[in-house]
Amino acid sequence: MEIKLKRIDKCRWLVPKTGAMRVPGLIFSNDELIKMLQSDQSLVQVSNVAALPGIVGHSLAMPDIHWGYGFPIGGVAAFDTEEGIISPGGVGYDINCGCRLMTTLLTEEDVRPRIKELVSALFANIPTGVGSTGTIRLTKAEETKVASEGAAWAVKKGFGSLEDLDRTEDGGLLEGSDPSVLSERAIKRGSDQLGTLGSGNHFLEIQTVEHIYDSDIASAFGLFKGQVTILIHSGSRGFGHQICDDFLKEMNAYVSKNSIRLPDRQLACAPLKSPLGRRYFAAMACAANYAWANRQILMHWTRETLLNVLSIAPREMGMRLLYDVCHNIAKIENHPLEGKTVRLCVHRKGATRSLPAGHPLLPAVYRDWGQPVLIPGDMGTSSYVMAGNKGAVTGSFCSSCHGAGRVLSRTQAIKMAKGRAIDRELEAKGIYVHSRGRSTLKEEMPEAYKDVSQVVQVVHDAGLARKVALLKPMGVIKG
Amino acid sequence: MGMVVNSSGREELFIEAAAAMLDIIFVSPPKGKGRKIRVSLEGSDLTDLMVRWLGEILYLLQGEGLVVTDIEIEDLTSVRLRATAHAVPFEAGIHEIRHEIKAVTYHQSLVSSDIESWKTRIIFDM
Repeated sequence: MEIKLKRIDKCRWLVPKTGAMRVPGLIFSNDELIKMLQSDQSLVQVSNVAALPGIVGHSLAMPDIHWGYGFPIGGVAAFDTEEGIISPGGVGYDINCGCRLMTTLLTEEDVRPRIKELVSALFANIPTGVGSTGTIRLTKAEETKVASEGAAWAVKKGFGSLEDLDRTEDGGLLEGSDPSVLSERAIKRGSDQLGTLGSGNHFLEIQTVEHIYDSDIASAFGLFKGQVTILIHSGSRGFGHQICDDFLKEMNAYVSKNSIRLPDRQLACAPLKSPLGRRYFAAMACAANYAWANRQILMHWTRETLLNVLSIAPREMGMRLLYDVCHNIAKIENHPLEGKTVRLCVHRKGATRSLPAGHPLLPAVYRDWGQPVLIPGDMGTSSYVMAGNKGAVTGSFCSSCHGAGRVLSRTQAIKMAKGRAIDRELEAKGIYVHSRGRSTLKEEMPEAYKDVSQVVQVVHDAGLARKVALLKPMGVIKG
Repeated sequence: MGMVVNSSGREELFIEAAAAMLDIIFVSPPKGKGRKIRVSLEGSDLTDLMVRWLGEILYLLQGEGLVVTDIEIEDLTSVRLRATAHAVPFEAGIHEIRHEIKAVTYHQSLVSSDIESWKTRIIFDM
């Protein structure tokens, strides 16, 4: 199926409404990135999503869009809460996979000489890898509290402070969770994975601020050149995967029973207002809350590890949470549409919320500056801190990109990396990496990803978020 | 990552697809009879059944720590599968993982047949 694109301006392409599409598609991109989409099926996926019941506005794709299961990764789709659907495939398996950035008062000079020791200690203290389990064992009763309370559960248990909640999207709690809808399998898989990083593209990275683009916002965010920051990328682990899996099966049965025709079974969905749609939302919220608690705990252990290795006082290190954002989620939000404010169910699958300055959902500390938008690149290049901008309100249901976006599949990356020692290549660039998986470093090598600088520039030029700071990796742990 | 599996028969396709998935996961999939596990599934068609079947074998590994080593299909229709799986406990130090499969997706999933053979295409979340 060939998708014809119509260029609108420097960074937007329209996918005109054809066939079963209920709305047009809209791609944020540039001349180089848009060419990469010709070789995968992500544009077809944008048009497939545009055909789902109740979709409004456009089926959106951020500049890091790439092929996903059913929905593209980097896709944003908003559905009417009365007539529209909710889809587990539109959220993804790793519900509330997301990023958390911590700032410190340390500089590169403080940390660079100890980087190998720090990375080794973090690798020893933070469980990583396939099916990794942590030191926390949850009873069913305690796990339901995690699912209902989110990051606040972790703070109550001594992992961090109340200030952290203010600096977490939605305060680290998605309302509407109901642990009674969870399967025994989900409960079981969640019982021993809290406080674990996971595998694949999940990581913990020690970085330094290399460049400041907007000094006022950077200052408000507590960022300065040469500063050491730490970025964590993790999600809801096997708990979220099991929930997605459970509901995909149920929704496929629903779709089959109701003779609903879909171009791909992974697009299985149910009306948001139906009992099944409501149950999925309640279960998904449990996983979102689990993920926020997970990243809160990972941050606490990172802080402890750095204090121990560097033998300094907490005040000297000055670690603070800058912000925590989710990438895979469906949320009920208010957005302007055709001159009215409407309540929508916004699916972000590989996309980040981006609220501009003055938005009522922002905490006071960021209200004058916009929401911090955290964009990890690959482990060999850089990551960005951005701030939500006004263009996102009318252009993208307050959404931005979530990373660089893959350009090679994992299989292609492994083939390309054959015979290479990715860890040694990175070390030659001053980046010390520790990984558990047999092929993780090859799958995640820098060439497997698009150029994050181009992705971020599109977002900046489109007015979805503005560039604030560039972060360079010094040390990375991966699963 | 995905796989295409061809087989001479419908039951064989389900057995060989499970073996192929375990080949992707493990450097050397474990052998042995181990304990017996009854599997009983229903689906809307054979493609749905295949996704559920492979998902069940993956869950045994992820949720129960059991690696399926042998399978006997007892009953397979277009909407129902009954089987006995033999499984041994997963031992991290012994059973080396090659690739982590996180989920069996429905994306572009397919079970089809012609006069001579059966075929399935499955894409995994890695």
